[in-house]
Amino acid sequence: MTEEQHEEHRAYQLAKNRFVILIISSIAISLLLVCIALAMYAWSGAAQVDLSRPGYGDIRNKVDEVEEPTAFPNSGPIDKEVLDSYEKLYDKTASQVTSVNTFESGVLSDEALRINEDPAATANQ
Amino acid sequence: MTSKRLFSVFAITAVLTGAVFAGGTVSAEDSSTITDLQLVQIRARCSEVKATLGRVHANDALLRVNRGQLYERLSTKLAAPLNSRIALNRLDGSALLTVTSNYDQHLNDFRTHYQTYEEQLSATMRIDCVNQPAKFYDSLQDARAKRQIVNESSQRLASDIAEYKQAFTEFARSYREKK
Repeated sequence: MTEEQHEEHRAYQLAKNRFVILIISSIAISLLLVCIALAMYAWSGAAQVDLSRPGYGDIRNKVDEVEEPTAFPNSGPIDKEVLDSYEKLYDKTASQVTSVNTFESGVLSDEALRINEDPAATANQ
Repeated sequence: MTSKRLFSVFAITAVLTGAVFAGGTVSAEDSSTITDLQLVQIRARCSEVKATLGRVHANDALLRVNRGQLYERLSTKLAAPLNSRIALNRLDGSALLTVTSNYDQHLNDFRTHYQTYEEQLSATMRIDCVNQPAKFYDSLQDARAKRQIVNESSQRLASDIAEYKQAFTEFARSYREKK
């Protein structure tokens, strides 16, 4: 093998290695970005409101559709009519929010899960 | 040198005091832990209990989404635009602003607390309650405590909503009196 051929072979090997390194580094960067995205998904709280996750199929269609438009205009004069219409809009939304006591602790109680100390009470439930 | 020694003594005392209180907390938790009968019940009804937790988990997610939408709407589509409009009209809406600021803070707390609770409930559901009923029960108790915090956050928001209404009524009354 002449010196020229040897140099050519080395250049070919280098180019080939660069291509392999490019592919490996592309995959590594992609994996890193996916990991970062998943971590952000978990830490941000988005996972908790994501009903497209497995196990939420039955309740997905029970999500209340937000009635639009509901936004109160943020510019314009203030007069009696405006205040009255705002009050109605606010009362309507507020009553929807405060109508039911949410996240009450009873649903996770021993009685609700039927693991209370009194077997008779459990049997009666 | 003396001050360094004093600082060391103070630091050691603080660490020891902390350790004693931490130990006390742990033993207090231990005393309220599971009974033998409950251990048996959890083992026997493991799948049933987990199914119930699964239903609670799914319903909570739905509630979080629906409630979250309403909470957001109250803040971004109603309170903030009115506050902005009052400011543009050069009227005094400071009471409304204060309540809105509290509400936004409590809404952030609610989001964080719900996330913590959801993670705890999910962790509880992953525990093998046939082989580790005590660990399962401890985790369940933790989930209950965190759910209670979410409930309190929700109640705080409800109280802010009522307070905003009160501030609005007061604002509207004083506006009508001036006109």
